[in-house]
Amino acid sequence: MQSTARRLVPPYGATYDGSVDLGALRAAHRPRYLERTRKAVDGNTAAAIPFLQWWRAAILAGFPITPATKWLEHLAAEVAAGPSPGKRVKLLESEHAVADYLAGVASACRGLVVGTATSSVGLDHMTESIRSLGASGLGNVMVVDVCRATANYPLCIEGDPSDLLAHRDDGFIQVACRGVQQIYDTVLQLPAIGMDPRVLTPTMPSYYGIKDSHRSGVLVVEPDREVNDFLDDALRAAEGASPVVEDFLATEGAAHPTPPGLLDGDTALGSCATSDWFQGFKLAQKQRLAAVHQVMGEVADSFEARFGRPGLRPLELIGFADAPEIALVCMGPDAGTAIHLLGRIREELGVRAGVIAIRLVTPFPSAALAAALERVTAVGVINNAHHYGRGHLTLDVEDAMAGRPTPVEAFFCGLGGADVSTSTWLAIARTTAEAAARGRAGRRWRMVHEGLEIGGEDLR
Amino acid sequence: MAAVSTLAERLARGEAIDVRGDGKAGGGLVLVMQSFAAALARESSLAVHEWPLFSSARRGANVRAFLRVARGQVEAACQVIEPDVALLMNEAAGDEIDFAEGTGERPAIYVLNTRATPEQAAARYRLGGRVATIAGDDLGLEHLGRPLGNIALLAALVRATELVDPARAREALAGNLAKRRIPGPLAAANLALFDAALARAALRDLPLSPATSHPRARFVSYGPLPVGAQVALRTSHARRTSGYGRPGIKIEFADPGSRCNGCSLCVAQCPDGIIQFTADPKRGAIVHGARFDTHCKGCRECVTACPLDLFREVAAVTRPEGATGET
Repeated sequence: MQSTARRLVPPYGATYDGSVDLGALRAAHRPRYLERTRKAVDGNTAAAIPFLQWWRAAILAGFPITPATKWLEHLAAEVAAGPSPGKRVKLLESEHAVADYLAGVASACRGLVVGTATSSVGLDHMTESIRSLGASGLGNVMVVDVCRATANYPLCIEGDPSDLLAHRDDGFIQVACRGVQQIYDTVLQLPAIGMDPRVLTPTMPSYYGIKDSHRSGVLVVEPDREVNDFLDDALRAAEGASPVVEDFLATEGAAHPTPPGLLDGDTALGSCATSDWFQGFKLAQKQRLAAVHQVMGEVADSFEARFGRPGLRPLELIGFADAPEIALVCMGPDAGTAIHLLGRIREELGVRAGVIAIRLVTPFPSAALAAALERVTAVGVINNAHHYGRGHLTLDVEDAMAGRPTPVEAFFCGLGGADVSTSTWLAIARTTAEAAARGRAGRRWRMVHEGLEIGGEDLR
Repeated sequence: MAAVSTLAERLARGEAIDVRGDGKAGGGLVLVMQSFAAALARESSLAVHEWPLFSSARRGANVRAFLRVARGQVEAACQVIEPDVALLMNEAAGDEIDFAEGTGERPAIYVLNTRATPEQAAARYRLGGRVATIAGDDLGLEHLGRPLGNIALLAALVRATELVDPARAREALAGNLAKRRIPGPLAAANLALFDAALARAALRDLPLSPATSHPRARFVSYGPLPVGAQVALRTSHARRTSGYGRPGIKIEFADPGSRCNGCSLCVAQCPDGIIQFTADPKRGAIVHGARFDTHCKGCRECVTACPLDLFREVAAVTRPEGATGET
């Protein structure tokens, strides 16, 4: 280093300002939706539409895999059908290539939003690249996970969140959605969270394959102008939040050694660090992820103010107006069936039941969940993915409730997209109510199908 | 029979109406459901969800699709197991499963793509309630040059349920054809088919009886599933897999001159393990046939593999002409 003067730089390294003329890109955007529009679409289309609407989404990439393929097909067909200056859809040779491509585009210009959609082993195939991406600070990357049973034997192409949950430590903000409106609204909000300088973490919205990717319903699409203003305004407002730090490349003779492998302060890609530094980077990554809880609330508030629909909150609470005695904690489309059945559960079992649908999967909203569960007398946790023990969600719920005597019953159902029937929900609610009466869980875990307990493990 | 007004009344009361359809992959069942959903969704007070159930199966496999409509909001995401309306898109699918399963407790509406009359279909499938039939494949041949019965089935569905105005359903169909970028002349032929089918669908309201009840088989257990059981599931000769075959063709084996050279390429390639052979220590696997009728899906692997062209694909009628219930 020639200069001994200290520089102040944003913590996310080189930004290659000027690599893309954002003003020109914005001016070139041809709006797809001029006014608020109601249309029947499936989940994949709902997740794709924002990428047509954002002027920042210039380059889209993907590799087809069931059940995510239609996301790419919809974008390719729409871009091919009409004048789309500045938009390119790239079909690459594999998911691994897609992830690398996203990293390249996203780091070349951090004002762009770049995305793809994938599933199951497609996400697994990206692993090498997305685990770097997760830590890279590239909050402008979005990987839409169309949940499908993964690492599976036998092969099953239907939806369960085992892929999402296998990738919890990749460093992404993971959000579960159900229904086309939630999918669309979530995709609209996530870049405002991921690209916030306090967060700088890529995002992974998710919805269950087949059950939601192929389920169509009526979607309200917001006009392009509002969609773009929402993100632009959020990013402008967040600019001041950027914590500026000393450029340690320029601090010759400083107490810390210059970290090897850092090029021009770029912490994003291809650099290595020794054990002198590595866990410091991980601590910083965890702190950025923890900032999601604060930033998500701000983004949801401004979304609600602008669009008048519920913003992205960490939990959906249903039936909590009258302090429920038991809570059923779940995620994904089947939460809808539980919500639909709440009245019947309360009537048939004579117990005040509430449903909590987890939206923010990573970082897990432990504090919010602990607060919601403060007065319940038993919790049933519904896991839809294979797990070695009591279930991914169960572990998180128990962690959130650490130190409390409230019994937690762990259930498995809906694996590989299996139907979660009315009878299954009634059986789960009944077992949870029994745990509440007993004051402790009956078994370590149970698997339920069509209302029958088909397996489980006793408490030791 | 008050089945139809009951459907509309139940919708008005805030109940959900559940529709289920069975067919074969590639038969157009999804377009039926999407168009019906789009027609219902034109009524802005209605929420409609429509979704298919399919797995890693190819053209010819059984597929299922669901639709749930209610005033306000549809929250329930579980499958339709007690349909108010049951569709049979392809009678070959009806050979594999009971398309009416879960019906019969209360009057249901059945809509079938068949040459049979409603009475004949009711006898064949044990149906009571409203039964609508349409010879959709014939209409497809007439208007499109292909035996595609889905647009005709949609027309019969619209007439039988009376939940949407036929003109609105036609508009919704036109919209869905445009969305799929179907060329203008072909779209027009499909719409003409729809109009013809509206006129030709036959409807009867038939009595319910204990015999027309289709109670759902209760799930008991998966049974033991040892390692590798999925291979057994896939190749088990106890499971008829010919129902997954491509309609209209079958594979034949003929070796009158005993030319089979025992190369066993067909044995190795057949995904269902149905090639029948005698092991000859000197010559190899001498093939003398295969379980075509019950297990062949018509994938043509054997046709491609055999160096002596002993397998061939021939035209076949998957359903007897008329399909009037005696089969």
